[in-house]
Amino acid sequence: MTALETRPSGPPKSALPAPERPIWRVIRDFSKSHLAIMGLVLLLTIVIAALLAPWITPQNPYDLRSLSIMDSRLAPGEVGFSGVSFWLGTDGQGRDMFSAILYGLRISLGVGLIACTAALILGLTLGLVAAYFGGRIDTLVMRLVDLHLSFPPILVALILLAVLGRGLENIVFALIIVQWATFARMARATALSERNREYIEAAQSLALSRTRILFGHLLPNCLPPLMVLYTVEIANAIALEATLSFLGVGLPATQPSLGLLISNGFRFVLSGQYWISVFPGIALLLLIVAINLVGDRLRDVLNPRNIT
Amino acid sequence: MTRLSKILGATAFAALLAGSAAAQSITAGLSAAPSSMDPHFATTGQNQQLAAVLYDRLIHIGADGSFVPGLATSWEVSDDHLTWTFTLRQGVTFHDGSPFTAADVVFTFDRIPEVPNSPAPFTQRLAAIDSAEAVDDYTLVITTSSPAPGLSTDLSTIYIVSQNVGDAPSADFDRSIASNGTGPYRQVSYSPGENLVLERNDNYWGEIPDFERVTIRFLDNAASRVASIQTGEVDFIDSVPPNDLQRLQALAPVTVVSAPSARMLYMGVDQLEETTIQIDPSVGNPFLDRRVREALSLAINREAIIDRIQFGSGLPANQFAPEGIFGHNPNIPAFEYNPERARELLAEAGYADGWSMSIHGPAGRYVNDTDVLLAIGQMWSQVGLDVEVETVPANVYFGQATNRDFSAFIVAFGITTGESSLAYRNVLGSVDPDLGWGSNNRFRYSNPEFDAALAQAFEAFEDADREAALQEAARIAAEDVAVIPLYWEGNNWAVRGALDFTPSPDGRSLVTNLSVR
Repeated sequence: MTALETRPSGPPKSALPAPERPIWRVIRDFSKSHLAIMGLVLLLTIVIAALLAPWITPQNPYDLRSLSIMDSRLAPGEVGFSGVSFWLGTDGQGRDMFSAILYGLRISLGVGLIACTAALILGLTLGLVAAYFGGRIDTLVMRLVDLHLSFPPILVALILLAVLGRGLENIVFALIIVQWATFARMARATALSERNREYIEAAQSLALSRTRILFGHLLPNCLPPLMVLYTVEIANAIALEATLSFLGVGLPATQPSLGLLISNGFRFVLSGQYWISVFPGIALLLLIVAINLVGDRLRDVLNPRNIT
Repeated sequence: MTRLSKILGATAFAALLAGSAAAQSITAGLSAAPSSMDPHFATTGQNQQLAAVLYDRLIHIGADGSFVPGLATSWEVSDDHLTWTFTLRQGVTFHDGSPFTAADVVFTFDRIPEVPNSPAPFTQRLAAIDSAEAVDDYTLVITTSSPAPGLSTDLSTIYIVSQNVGDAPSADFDRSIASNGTGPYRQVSYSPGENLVLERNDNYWGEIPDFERVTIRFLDNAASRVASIQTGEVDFIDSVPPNDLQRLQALAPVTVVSAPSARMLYMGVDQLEETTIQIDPSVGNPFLDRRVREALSLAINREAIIDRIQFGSGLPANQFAPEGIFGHNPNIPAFEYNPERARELLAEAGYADGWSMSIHGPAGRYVNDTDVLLAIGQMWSQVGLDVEVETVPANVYFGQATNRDFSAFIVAFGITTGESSLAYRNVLGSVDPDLGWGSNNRFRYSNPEFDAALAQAFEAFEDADREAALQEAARIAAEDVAVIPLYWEGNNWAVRGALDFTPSPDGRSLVTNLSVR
């Protein structure tokens, strides 16, 4: 075994004409679309604003001490009890909407990123293992995936949260459970078409260890379509978190995410106090549109059929 | 007559015709669905407000809170206060045509303890009764082992069913097979969580309702209730969300009916031991100190909660019984809002730096409950406490509260019997399962002085003595700050077109209170 592995593997790299590094091709292709650039700029703006929220907002909306219900339901631009003016108005608890939205974006982005990354890792591993080993393991994993995908995600998440209760960890956990199957299926499909390619055969004939073939050779070649799915699923996770919070099973009432803000304001929309729902709604919309613009362009760029 | 006024006149006439035709059959949208149509299954408000229109009781409670004859036309108590003799109404028939007799009452009393799985049994309300005997068809004799002045109150919530019900299980009431009462309406069909169809009982002995047929739809979503009355899908809704009051009021065909309720929301604070579950043991249990309880009360701006969160619906409370309820003590001062004094009192009690804790409340049980709890969190934070606010789904909340998983939590108690004795017995009486005291005393307030005053109210047979004893109990509770009263919830209903709704003192959404204007 060891003797085999120490043999020189393939021709030296210098023998081939130096190819352009794929990352540069992706960046070049990506920036051909103005819409995608706009999406990226918007996304970066939102991410930076959300990261800087504690320093650029006038109020910490999660600190009960800094709120006063005497300031509740003020219209955008009105000056509150304590002399602060609220440019986007306040909600029913006297939270400054601008601060609440930025803090809400932090939660949305954080939940989306963490949940999706974990789901990606879990799904990817299981999908690769299923595809590479085939047989019983494949059947087991894929039937589990089928079972999983036959339930609507919102239903699964609702049941999980009803059992686990509210809270940030619980919602992240629920989102991972809801999303891993999508990644697993995609990873398996990609890996299946890749595993019969010559480089895998080559690696196998070199008797490389399974782990090394799986994660050193198979994984990198399966990544591009998964990265596209990843961006789309982040947007989905954010939307799902907002939906769950809107339905009142997501995050606790003291830490309103965008969905909860929208839901809180819903009661006031018909009495003319539109800003409590509409502004967080716009923020959520912008965030999801930005992620989708970026994701769509990535899909076009990474699609092997579009590569000449 | 101008042409325009002719058209207007014709339209008005047509509207009148349409109105009277529609009035024969109405649809009501109620917020709370019953857990069962068995009138003996649970004492919860949503069950009783339906049972009360289908079944009758021996004693009714009048608009002024006094006892008035129901199925019993008169009753008297022996000199030793142990034997009650009821003369029953003659000529009353059940919905199936069989006559109502004393045997049906005895059957009902026997059936109540036999109802299985009841989450809130009526048994407690019959606990005083030693034996009930049908002397003849229209005479019922009840004996009690000790004087029971509260018996008339208890009997005003016992729904008499026909002995033909036999050993039918609760499910038969849901299938409308066993439903057989003497009430103003009879049950036609019921589908759980969906709707209940009622038909007028034309042989009812009392006031016959204006409507031949009432369809009750259970609309637990406030927005869909409001939308349904706006579009005319239903003619009556209850629990109008305060946020929508102004908007509904502005709609021409809709009339809003508001009345203060006898349902007080309060913060219960754990007073059992030297430590409490939500507060670090090294801090101890601050709620044992009366000054702390007073400070927490002083920190709450009740007017602001009612004004900003409840859109003006509700009244700041200082005791369980609002004005007009028997036992109300007019001499108890209002609980004021004074955060500076609150901070002083906390410092005096040795809690100048406050403490950390979670406070709890149900999500969706009371009107805007989450917002109210958050506001209390804000106000307590502002006098120096480090407060986390946690809301719990209503279906598990009360179980956890009874398990004593909370240290400071929001609850309501609604007086539905016209007097305050049950509120004090259940909520503030020292816990004693044998006596049936303190069944809602989840925070374990206990004061012998209070118990003595309350015991007096339960022994006194004269109304004046009872009232004095209840007022004394209310005074002690307020002085002790046994609980931190918040406000009496406002009740809001909306009717459409030519309908009228007359609220009753129990605040229930009784379809028998609907009439044609």
